[in-house]
Amino acid sequence: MENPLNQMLHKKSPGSGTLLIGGAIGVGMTAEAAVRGGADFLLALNAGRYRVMGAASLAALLPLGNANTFTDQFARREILDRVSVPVLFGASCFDPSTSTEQLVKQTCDVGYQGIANFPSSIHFDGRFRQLLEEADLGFAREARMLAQARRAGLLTFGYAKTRAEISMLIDAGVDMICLNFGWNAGGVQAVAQSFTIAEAADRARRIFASIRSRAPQTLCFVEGGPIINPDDMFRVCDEASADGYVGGSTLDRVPLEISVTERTSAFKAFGLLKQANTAQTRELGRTARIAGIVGQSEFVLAVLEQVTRLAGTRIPALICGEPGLGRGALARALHPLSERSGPLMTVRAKNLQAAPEAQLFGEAPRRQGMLAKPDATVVVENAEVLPHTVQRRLVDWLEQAMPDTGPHAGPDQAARLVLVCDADPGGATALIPELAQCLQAGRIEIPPLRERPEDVPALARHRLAILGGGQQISADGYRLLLAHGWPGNIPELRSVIDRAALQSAGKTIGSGALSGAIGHSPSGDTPDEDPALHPLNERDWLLDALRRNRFRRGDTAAYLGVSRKTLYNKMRRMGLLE
Amino acid sequence: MPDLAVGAALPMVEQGRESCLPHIFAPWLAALPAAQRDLLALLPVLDVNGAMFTALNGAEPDARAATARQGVIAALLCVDPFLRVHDVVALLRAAGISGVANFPTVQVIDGVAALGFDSADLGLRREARMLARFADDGLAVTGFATTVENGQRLLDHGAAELVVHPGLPSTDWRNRAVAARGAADTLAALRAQCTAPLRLFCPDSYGAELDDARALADGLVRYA
Repeated sequence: MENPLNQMLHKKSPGSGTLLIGGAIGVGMTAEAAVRGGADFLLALNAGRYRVMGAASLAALLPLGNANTFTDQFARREILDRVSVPVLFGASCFDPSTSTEQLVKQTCDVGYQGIANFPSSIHFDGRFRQLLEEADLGFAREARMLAQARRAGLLTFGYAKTRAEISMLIDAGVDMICLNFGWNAGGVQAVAQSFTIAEAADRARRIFASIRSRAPQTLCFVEGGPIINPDDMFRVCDEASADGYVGGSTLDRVPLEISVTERTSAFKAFGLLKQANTAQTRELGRTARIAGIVGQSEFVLAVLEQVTRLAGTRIPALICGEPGLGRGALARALHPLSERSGPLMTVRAKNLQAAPEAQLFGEAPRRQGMLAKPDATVVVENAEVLPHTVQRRLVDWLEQAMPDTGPHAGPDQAARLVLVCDADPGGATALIPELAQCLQAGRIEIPPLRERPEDVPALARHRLAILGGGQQISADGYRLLLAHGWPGNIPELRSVIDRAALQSAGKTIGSGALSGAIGHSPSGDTPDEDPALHPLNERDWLLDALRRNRFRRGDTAAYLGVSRKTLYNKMRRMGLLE
Repeated sequence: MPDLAVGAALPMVEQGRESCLPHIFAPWLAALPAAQRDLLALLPVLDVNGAMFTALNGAEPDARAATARQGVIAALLCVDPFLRVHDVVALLRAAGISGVANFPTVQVIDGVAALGFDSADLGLRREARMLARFADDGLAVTGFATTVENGQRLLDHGAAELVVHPGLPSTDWRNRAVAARGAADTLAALRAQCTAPLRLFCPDSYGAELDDARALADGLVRYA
């Protein structure tokens, strides 16, 4: 296996602006989530555990347990061997009964890929720090441990605050130096700060310049203090040319506090609104079942609402989108949803032998057309290929069946027309403008799967449920599915799931099987490498966010928690503005 | 006033005699080397309160042993964010212990780190608040304080008596002398401000530097 540092350096091409992200965590759930989000390495720290237990990170320094035993216990059970990135052990040098040699040996024996000096003496100063150093339980001991760890082949990560500490880390030859700005601001357990963002950026710039003059191969990271969101991180890292950022509270405590509060509040509010919403939710569920729509995105909900509303009227419908999105099924679902008593009829316009005009309007005087059938629903698939003459006749028919006096004022028994049509990414169709205009009120656009990746897991689970066998997809498998573009939309996804399910012997479908299945998918959109093993880089991450927000910059910036200006700068830097 | 001994063991029930000597019970001391115990007791190398709970759970349950513990004070890390007063009080009562002390105390951590502890509510405010809750539950509170202000705050939060802590002992005698002078000043100022009994904590490494402070104290607190 390649050295974990080499793997990381490989990912970080100098000058690319790609930042390495370390997750300082203390529980399996946040570890896996951080890796899914693209963390390049994890630090198993007692502070991370205390945070998810409800205490401040600073509790890591208190005599609440032996830091090394405590950290090792949860890291072994919940993190090691469960993630695809290097895991570094947060080793405390405060315990005189354990020598640094023993610590390094234990770290190697357990199977950690690296080691970090945490909890560290850097968090103490004044007389207390002096006493630590006098007792040889201070930073000199930590630097010694890191030097030994490096010789033992571990990836070494050194926390430091001062120039003197950094100098000792350079002498120890550590692979990564993290300039710590103190405990994090932000959230309900924010700690008072010594630095502003501007000061932190300036300090990092000067210190990293001096590190690079002495040890150009050392990777430089920032952490803590005033950096509480990606915008702050970008500012500090950009100004200081940092190689990466390590997030602790910013990755778990702060987002958890916010999301749990918001979600709980949402559930609470839902309870209050339950009575009013129950009928509507039931109706949407019925629409989804009949139309065979699966998903949980805002797009799916919007489509379901639109279809439900449309079903109660006689307004003609136009269903647009790329092939493979279930447009035909949705169009046909309008019939049972409308509870019309007439027949459901389908015209396939692409089928030249079908003579769509004759089917729709009949061949007088011998045969009546579909549109003349009372209370029928007439679905025209591939309406974009209808000859213009037929489209004009449809306009005339619609004006007759749905006069200007209103949709409910026409002949009660008129058929309902539903057209299914390809649309380009801008929403334009090949329909003549008059027909498009007539159908504007009932127009439903189904976004392609790549614009709503949040529906992919639900669709995949739905497919597995249909296949039976009780198989599930692993976390990194979902990551891979989310990272794929799905140019073939739902049929491609179904085919990938079917193939991966067949290839997987056990109950869990992993990223390997899915990667292979995607490689065989008809779209031919084969990923170069397994993204589960190579988490998203910043450009992919940005693209993914833009995609999720349909390339609306304002929404994307809000989604990422950065300003529009920062988003613009990042897009420009990554060549995403062209 | 009798001196207080800080020890890792509960007083023994001897044949026909029950010992009622005042005593600070700190079972976690057993795990620490004597030369570094003051420093290590504030570092993440052991679970101070966990050691207390283990010791209390294993304590002799009989009545005579409980009587013997009437004068015993339990040494607790009061800034422990997971400490539940209700549970601690129940354990202490079951073991016959009727007093608590904030020992070890985070007040000996100084500089920017101390500001961080205060800011995260893991500093003196929490110590005082927890002691007040123990006092409300009827336990006798002994407050360890490093300064006059801290001592006053602990008294305001229900401490019945104070122990002035000179700070962790340095290997440099000059630092110890400065610390000892500070302890003497604190004792003198507190004496002028309150009527509560005042003791002086004498860590092993301190020697004659503490003589002035000793003279001002009502009693001493030493390791057993």
